[in-house]
Amino acid sequence: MPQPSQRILAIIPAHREAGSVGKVVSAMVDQGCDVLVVDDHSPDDTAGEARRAGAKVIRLPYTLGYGGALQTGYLYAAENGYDAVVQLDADGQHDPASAPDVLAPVLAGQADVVLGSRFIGGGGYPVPLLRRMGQRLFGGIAALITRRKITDPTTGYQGLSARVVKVYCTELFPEDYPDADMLVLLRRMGIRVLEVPVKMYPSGAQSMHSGLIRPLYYLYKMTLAILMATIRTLPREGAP
Amino acid sequence: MTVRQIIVISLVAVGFILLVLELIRRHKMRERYSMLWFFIAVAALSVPLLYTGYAWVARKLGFVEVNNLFFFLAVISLFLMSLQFSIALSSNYARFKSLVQQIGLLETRVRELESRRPPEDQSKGA
Repeated sequence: MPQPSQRILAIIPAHREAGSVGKVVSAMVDQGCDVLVVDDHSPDDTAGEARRAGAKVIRLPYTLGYGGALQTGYLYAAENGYDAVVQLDADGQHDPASAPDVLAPVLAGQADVVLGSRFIGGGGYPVPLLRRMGQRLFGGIAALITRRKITDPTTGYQGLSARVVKVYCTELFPEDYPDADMLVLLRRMGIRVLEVPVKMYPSGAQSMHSGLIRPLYYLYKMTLAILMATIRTLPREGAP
Repeated sequence: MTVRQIIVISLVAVGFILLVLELIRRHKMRERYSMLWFFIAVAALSVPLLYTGYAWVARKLGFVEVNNLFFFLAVISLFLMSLQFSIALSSNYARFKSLVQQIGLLETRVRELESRRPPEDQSKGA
């Protein structure tokens, strides 16, 4: 997949993923990537299984959540000078076979962020109604602001250039998970975003839209996050 | 204001100032978070001394009873303290997150460096 001169890092944030993370790591190792698993302080053998499958493992001493674990991977990629990053989930939801499609536009210099979408190209699966509604609402708002339609703003399957990895190492990156607010920020920074179809499977994890409080918090958080992404002063790229 | 009220308010305020000082002495409270507590204690201490002045301010602000002004000020103070704590918590979380990430990165780097050491060096370090 990558050119010999290009260094690619696959970042896999993982929490309680013993039983699935090994297969994902093996599949990515087979594709010629360096693989980094950020174990978000799992109580099970996630770290050991990932190591045995051939990944480098960063084990966090406390649980930071999805965003904090991902950002640790970006910090590692930036420190070690990787040319591009592909990130995917450890639960097997994201088919590793789609990684070349996600990385190709980044490696070809056509985009800095490539979002793997489950909603284009027929590679997806049925999404719960409430979740789909949330995605449509905030995806629609982001589309209005950025004047660009993105079908799957919450996707965790992404390809990133070294430039974006540096941006994601700053406090601009959200603590919980990147969403439509990041699309607004990326647009304001002139960063090129592209969507490609990927194969995804249903996740066994609890949705962030389940229950009563979570959807309300999501509604509040995303409204605020998009507002902040619109009005926040952006740092100059390359500034410490 | 009765003499009994003056004595009670003064004792509570002085006791509160001593409590804050003791907490700082024992390193249970940092100086930066003590300022608002001191301000409240001094304000409470000033009530018996400046009661007439407070009554005048209450009338000018439209409060029927001077006690209502005190309740209002107390609520505002609590609100400001909560705000200060939220800011401090957010700032501390950002530092905590950065520390956790750096520990994870450094631990991985140490493991990599140790695995590269020749076996004789590893036995010396053990």
